[in-house]
Amino acid sequence: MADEKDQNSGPDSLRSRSRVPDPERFRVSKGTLRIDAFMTRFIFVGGLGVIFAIFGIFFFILAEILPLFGGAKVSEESSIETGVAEPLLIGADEWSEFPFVLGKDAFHFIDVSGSREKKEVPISLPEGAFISDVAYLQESQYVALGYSNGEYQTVRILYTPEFAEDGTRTIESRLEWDKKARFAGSTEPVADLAVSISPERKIIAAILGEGDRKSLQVDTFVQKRSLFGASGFKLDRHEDLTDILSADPVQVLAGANAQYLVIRCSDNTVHLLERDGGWQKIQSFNPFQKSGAKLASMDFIKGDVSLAFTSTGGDNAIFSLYRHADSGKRLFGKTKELDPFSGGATIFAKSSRNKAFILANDDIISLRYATTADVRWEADLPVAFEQVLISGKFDRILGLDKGGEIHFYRLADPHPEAGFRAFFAKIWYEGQDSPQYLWQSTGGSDDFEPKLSLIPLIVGSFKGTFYALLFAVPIALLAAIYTSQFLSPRLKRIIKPGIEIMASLPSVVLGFLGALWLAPILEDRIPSVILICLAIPGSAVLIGYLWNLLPIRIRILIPKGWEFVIFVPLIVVVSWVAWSMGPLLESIAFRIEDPATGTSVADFRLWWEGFAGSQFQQRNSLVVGFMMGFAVIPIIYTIAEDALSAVPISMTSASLALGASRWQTTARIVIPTASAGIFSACMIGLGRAVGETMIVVMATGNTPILDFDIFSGMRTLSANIAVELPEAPHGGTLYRTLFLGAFVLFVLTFFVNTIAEMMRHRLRDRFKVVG
Amino acid sequence: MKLAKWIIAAVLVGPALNIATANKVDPDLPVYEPVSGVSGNLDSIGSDTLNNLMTLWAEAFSAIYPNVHIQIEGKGSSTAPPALIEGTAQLGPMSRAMKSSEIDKFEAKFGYKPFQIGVSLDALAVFVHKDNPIDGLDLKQVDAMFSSTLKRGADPIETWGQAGLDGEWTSRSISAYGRNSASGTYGFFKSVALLKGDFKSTVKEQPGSSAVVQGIGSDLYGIGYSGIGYKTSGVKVLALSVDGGEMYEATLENCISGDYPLARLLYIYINRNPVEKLDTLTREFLKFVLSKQGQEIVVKDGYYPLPAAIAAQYVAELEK
Repeated sequence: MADEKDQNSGPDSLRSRSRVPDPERFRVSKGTLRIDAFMTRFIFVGGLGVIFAIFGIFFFILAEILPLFGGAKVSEESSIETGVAEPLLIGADEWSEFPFVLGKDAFHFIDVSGSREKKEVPISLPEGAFISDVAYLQESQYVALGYSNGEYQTVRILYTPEFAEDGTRTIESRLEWDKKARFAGSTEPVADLAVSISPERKIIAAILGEGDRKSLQVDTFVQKRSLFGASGFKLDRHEDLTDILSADPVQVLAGANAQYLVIRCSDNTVHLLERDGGWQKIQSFNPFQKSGAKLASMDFIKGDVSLAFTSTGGDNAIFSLYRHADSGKRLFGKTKELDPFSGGATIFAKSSRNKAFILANDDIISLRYATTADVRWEADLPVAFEQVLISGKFDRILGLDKGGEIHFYRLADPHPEAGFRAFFAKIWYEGQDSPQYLWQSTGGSDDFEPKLSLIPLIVGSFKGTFYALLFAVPIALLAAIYTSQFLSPRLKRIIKPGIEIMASLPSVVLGFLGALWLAPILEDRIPSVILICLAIPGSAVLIGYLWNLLPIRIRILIPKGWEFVIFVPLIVVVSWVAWSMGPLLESIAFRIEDPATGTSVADFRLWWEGFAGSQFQQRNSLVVGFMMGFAVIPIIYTIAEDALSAVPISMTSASLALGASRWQTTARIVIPTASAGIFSACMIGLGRAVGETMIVVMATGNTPILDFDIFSGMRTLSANIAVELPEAPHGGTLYRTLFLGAFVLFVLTFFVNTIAEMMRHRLRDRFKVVG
Repeated sequence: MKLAKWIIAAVLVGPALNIATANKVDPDLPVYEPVSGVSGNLDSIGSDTLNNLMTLWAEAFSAIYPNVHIQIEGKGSSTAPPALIEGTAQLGPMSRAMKSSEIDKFEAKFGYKPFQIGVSLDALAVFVHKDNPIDGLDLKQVDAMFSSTLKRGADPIETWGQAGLDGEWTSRSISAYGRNSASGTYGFFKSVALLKGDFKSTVKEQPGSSAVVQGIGSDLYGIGYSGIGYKTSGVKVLALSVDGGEMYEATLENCISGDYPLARLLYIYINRNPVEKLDTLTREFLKFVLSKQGQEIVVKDGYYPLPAAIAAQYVAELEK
């Protein structure tokens, strides 16, 4: 370098250079080469890094969502010989560390770790009687014993964890016996017993007797409860319900807040009884009427509002309580049909954490999930079980065989409620009267059935984007065309950055304004908005036309690019007039006869509800469209304006020189040439609108509904993630489902962008500017 | 949710002045006596309903112990269990009891269950716009307005006319506001008022209690629910009845007697190892909350104080 400088400086070198070219002069300096080599690698590595980062995010999301689609894993762990002959019942604490087996005359508690002796708690049987039936409520640890002399007794097993000094836990059990009682003087043996407990009520129902002398008896207990405890259950009434039945009762179940009784009879009919003052029969049905199959089993699923039936023909169906629109009553209806379970079930177990249940007979055991009608796991049984229990934490299956041996299975099924059907298919949820796409992820209690359909959220995302673009695209593009082609360049230098500053408005502020300022204003002034939407473009065209009619000596007074000084005040006036004419329009066009008073009132909200048949919400898509439009307009505007301004001046000059007007040049030359850029502007705007979160969270009601109505709200995928992620426990189903939502968003934008890019290329090729 | 805090700051003054005189704390509550050696940091993550209350307690507690710093975040009760499990908070205020599935996750990590303390009474209030002529509703009607499963057995209610209003209200659609699903208030309302049913998809989910109340205040046909402490002058609290019985106002007496159907306890959950003594800072904070000064703050914020006997029970458990 230094040499070169020297050479250049002297007159000698000048001469020598002009004669013989110095080869050194054409050599690139080492420093430049080094920087060049470095930058090549740096950019290569950087580019690769970007690609890896995107793939990294992709794989991270994928790794989070894949477990959602796995099945259940069950493996045999161990087995314990209890030595209880002819066991009647197996139960366990929630940790499955101190399970019990009910024998003929005692409870046998067994420590699974083997560190303690078996604990035996004898039952004081009534004289000469034996236990003829038992009922077990796993969650509240209630056991009801029915005796052969017609007496019954309830006992509550209190499990308490005791912690040693070193923090190790042992489970202690204690039994709390209630007094023996008798169903209204009956001495027949208890054939089937059912218990249901709600905070205010306890019902104990039983089928008594044998052969054709069976009767159905129900005892109801009540207690008064306040925030700080309960008074204790007292017998309220006793009822004999034998007359209600059509045939011999086989099985009785009590459930749903101690509000319903379900009775299965020998003629395959199931009766539903509701406690409404006394007990009323409100429904009788045969679950497998069509196939004519014989009922094999009937049991409640967690929550006590759905029944799982199996038939000897192998059918397996779920019936749920829901409100029938015609009668206005909550009755059972078939909501799901599951894969067949051959031979019908003799053993049933339900999870106390979710809607999973186990069907088993002597040969097969099958774990199923009610919400998704999915078979999670199925296996052949090595030994026939007497009873099966799903542990309280849904992590173990306990099988009790006829010899009194307990078989422990480890159950790993972290996301039973997930699956393709749960996310994308219509599901008939408990309590609903039809299959639906619903999103409602959390409830206040454990027997809540999560509703995880992503369809309303996807629709919501599209809806929000659509209304935002409907508002933003015309305004942004027209503004871009105007500023780039018609506005005086001096003003453009002020206006363009001005609009770009709009983009820096935080979206949370826009959302806040939308929710608490714009929404209440728009609510009453929809007719004004309609008028303004019509009046502004209409008057702009009209004013333009009138302006054109004016003699040239007047028009020349306004320099080119300054026409807006005439337009803007006129349009402001027109807007103001349109705004204040709104109520007038409302009173003329949107009248509706009020059915209650018979008078005709002018009210757009009411009119819309009558016209469209859907509700008018204050927080609606129009508000979101306006607010999101504000966020999107600057982006579309600035990119489109750049594209339009980049059209070579040679082309516009040529067009103008050939006699085309400014408008002709813009419409026929500039816009087509810049179309690829304009298109990208719209697509980037769309990308922004799809991903926009805060405005939607604040300005809509986050209602996960499935419609495209302009006057209803929405819940978008991104807003959903923002609203629900804080409550989603790490690694849980909801957490992973939110990631699935993110993944769907990712895939959607990926597709839209790919298609957009392809279209942009075609546009660019078509309107290529020749050098 | 900076904004939520902003709104809270604005709303805070209103309810505090309104109700301050209406309820008195139980005179038997013990006066809090400061002890020595209390310093350090406490983090609280959880209920939005309890957010103002936690802030006020924290301020008063820091006034007694200047070396104590308390940080409070209130996005919803469902955020408390994950925070306690991850150890990002020592206090987990919740406006509903923890679900067993949440307790499971806590227990899986620590081996014992989280420790629950009731800190205040709340009447979960059903609000309407202040100009709404309605005075009370039956829970059946509330269920019919908010629920799609209608477990209380009423016919669905879409308009104010169906809820018993006449005149120009007859054919006006009801605009229902509620909390987001992270909220304990959402869960409690769902369990008790809707009998574990489902919300209609059209119930607008707001990110905070104050947003619910603001929404109703600016929506003439609005109805919604939140803790009574968020009452402002723009809304009206409805009296409630169960199954056509007598209507009960959301007062302290009706909450304690159990007559007001949506009365509930507000809780703070802590991570307490059963074989170790609770650390001084957490214990003193909770004792302060359960003291006369602490419960006076409850009243000041518009919630209802605990009866002395109940507070004494909790203190005894803490001291164990």
